[in-house]
Amino acid sequence: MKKIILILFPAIFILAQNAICQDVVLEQKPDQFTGGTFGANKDWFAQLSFGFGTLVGKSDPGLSYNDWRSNDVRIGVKLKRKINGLLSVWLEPEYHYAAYNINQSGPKVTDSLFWFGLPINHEKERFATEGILLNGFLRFNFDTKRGNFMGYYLDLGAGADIIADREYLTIDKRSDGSQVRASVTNIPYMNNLNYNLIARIGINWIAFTLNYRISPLFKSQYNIPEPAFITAGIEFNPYSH
Amino acid sequence: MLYIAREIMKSTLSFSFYLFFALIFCCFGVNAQTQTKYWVSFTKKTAKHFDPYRFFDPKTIENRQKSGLPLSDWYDLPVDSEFIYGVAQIADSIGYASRWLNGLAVYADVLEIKKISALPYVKTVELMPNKAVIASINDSLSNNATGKDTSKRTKLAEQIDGLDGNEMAAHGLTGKGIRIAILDVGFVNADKHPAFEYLRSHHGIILTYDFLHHKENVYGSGAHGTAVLSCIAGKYKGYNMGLAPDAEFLLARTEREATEFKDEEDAWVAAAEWAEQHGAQMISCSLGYTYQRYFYKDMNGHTSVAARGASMAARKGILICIAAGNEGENQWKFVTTPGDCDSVLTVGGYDPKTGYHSGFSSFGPTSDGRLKPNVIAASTTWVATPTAYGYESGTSFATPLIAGFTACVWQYLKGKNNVQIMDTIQKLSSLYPYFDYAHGYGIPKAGYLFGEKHGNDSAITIYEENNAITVSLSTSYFKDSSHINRIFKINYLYAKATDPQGRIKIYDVIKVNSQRFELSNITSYLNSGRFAHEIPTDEEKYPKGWVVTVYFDHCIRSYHF
Repeated sequence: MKKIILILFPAIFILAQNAICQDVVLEQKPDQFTGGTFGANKDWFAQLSFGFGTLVGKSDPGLSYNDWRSNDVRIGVKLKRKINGLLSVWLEPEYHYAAYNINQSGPKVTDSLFWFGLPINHEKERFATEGILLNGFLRFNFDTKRGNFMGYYLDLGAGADIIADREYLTIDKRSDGSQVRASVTNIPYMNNLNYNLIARIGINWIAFTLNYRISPLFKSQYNIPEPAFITAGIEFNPYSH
Repeated sequence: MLYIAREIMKSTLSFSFYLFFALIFCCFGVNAQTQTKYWVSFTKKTAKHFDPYRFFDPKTIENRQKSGLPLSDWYDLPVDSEFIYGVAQIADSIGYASRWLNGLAVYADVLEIKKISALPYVKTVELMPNKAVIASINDSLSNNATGKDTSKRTKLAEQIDGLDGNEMAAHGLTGKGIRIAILDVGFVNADKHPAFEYLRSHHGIILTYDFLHHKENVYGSGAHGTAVLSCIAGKYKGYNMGLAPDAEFLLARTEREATEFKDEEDAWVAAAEWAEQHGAQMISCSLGYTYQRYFYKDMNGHTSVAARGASMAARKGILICIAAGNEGENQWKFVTTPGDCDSVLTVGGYDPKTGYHSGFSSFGPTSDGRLKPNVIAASTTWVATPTAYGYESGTSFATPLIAGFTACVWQYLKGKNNVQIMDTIQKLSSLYPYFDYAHGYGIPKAGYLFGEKHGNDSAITIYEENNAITVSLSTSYFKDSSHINRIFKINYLYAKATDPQGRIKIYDVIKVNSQRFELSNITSYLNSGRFAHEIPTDEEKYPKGWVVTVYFDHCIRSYHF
């Protein structure tokens, strides 16, 4: 009896399913797609953003920052509200990591500050910050009568860099070739908040960016030389058409 | 600002790096700013005399006479050269002028276009799109596809057999006497590729023109056109790759491939006029324009310059086969322009493995609710690549298959005009008179042209049972073993619900597994809250005036509410 039930039950179940179910291989509801206010050139839009930059310009004397190796990385989202074909307002929360590498050949006031007055050269030495960058900007589109397409644009705006972690890192090599990493986190002499002005020029999903830091990285009472105030970079903002 | 400039200047290596990118960017930026492309329409034409016998190819005269069209009309008159000269004096540069649209493409900046707009003979000024979309999935055609020769021939058979192509050949229909213009991105190596040896042997390529470089040679770059041509008239080891190897061809290069930042919509219209002037009866085009200048609302058949050009070409007796586009899985989703045009045969794609819609093939309807695509064909095909052969996917290749089919039908029905032929193609299609916005009327079948009977009149019944729309298949499908075999071959049921205005609101393709089943998705759609306000009593569960239509094995049944 058990065997019969075991055989019959799945068979009945499958037959019953066949009788009442359908195997839909394609279904479309055209109205779902014909309108909508979300799109690259519609009322609302959101897209991912990936940015990379390096320091550009002159740092304060007293500490030799390596501009080329002082990079920042930004990963976030851009949220848009269109005003008209020319103008849109954007909000851009981003995770932001910035590193300020120090050349070992130049003057080093930091040694006197952090290494008990001893002028030490390291393999590598840097300040780094990590936090949330919150930008707001206006986008001016040159081609105002484009379709649902990002087009050519100029962004002008400002942002606040809310720093969650501040680090001073040195890497040294022992005589046996092994490395010694010394990391001091939450260092007190860096500011928690930085302000930036932003200019960006872009075509569709790629943009070239200039960030001008208008507030000091370090607290004034510590007299630590500031790195360059400008970061130039490239940004990728993928989206599908 | 001075400080910023000074800081930047003092930077050396990193600045140079970014300067390099900035220069590249500026090149594009300058284009955007100073060379925006506009379409300028004029108020009138001043030419009085026009000799069609001197201007047109004898084939055009013949086509017009056959179609009952006048040998010339206002639209054939040239654009006034003084108007062109006047605009050219102000604009950065000019593109193509169109007799049909009485206009001219210009590159100009904002100030220049304002001056142009103020000219007394300028009627309207419109911006033009940036770039065409090539309706193939892989823009860079792959060479030397691996695999056994039998699998290549199977693929080849699929693209031909889907249309009952061998029936055409059996009846001696090979497109002979039909002149087809192909508008594409270039036809690299088509002048020496072995796929076109037969075509060259009978001097099938009548004329070529590169509308981008104003020269005759179209064989220098652009592999897409080579593949497209092969799907009409190519041969692989003696086997036909398309249905019209004996047709005559005009090859026009109207677009560049992926790197193009300028639009060539004016070149498209110029090429269509050129094709008509030189006797083309058909145009096959696998390019379309989408998001870069247009929204879906513009896909109404009369907004884009290309759509207006295509409409004029149709009025001149040309039958245009246009790729629906490969936007089905993209945000755009719908057909591209000029595939939105009322009087063109817009071609979607089906997957030869499944027999129904290929996911990437663009959907209809047009923004004003018209049916598109009109028909479908195999969208995975065996094509000629620049130096060999390969597999390619896209409605780009379904389109020339339909163009070849159409050429054969026109060869068979010589006395018909373009509108009648287009109507015939739709009627020859597998789902006709059923249609939906993924498949149009389905796959055209040559067998139907020669009287093959359309299906089973009593295959299905549709009724309401237990508050659900239910479909029941004829018992013969399950009693007769030959039918069981048949059901496994043709086991898709198509269903749609249309509102009282005739617009399809939901449509399904359902794999048939049992003799009776509910259209549960359509039932729940009709029962959904959106119609609550239309339901006056508890007894009436469904909105009034709606119709559910199902199709299975050439049998169509409707249930009216």
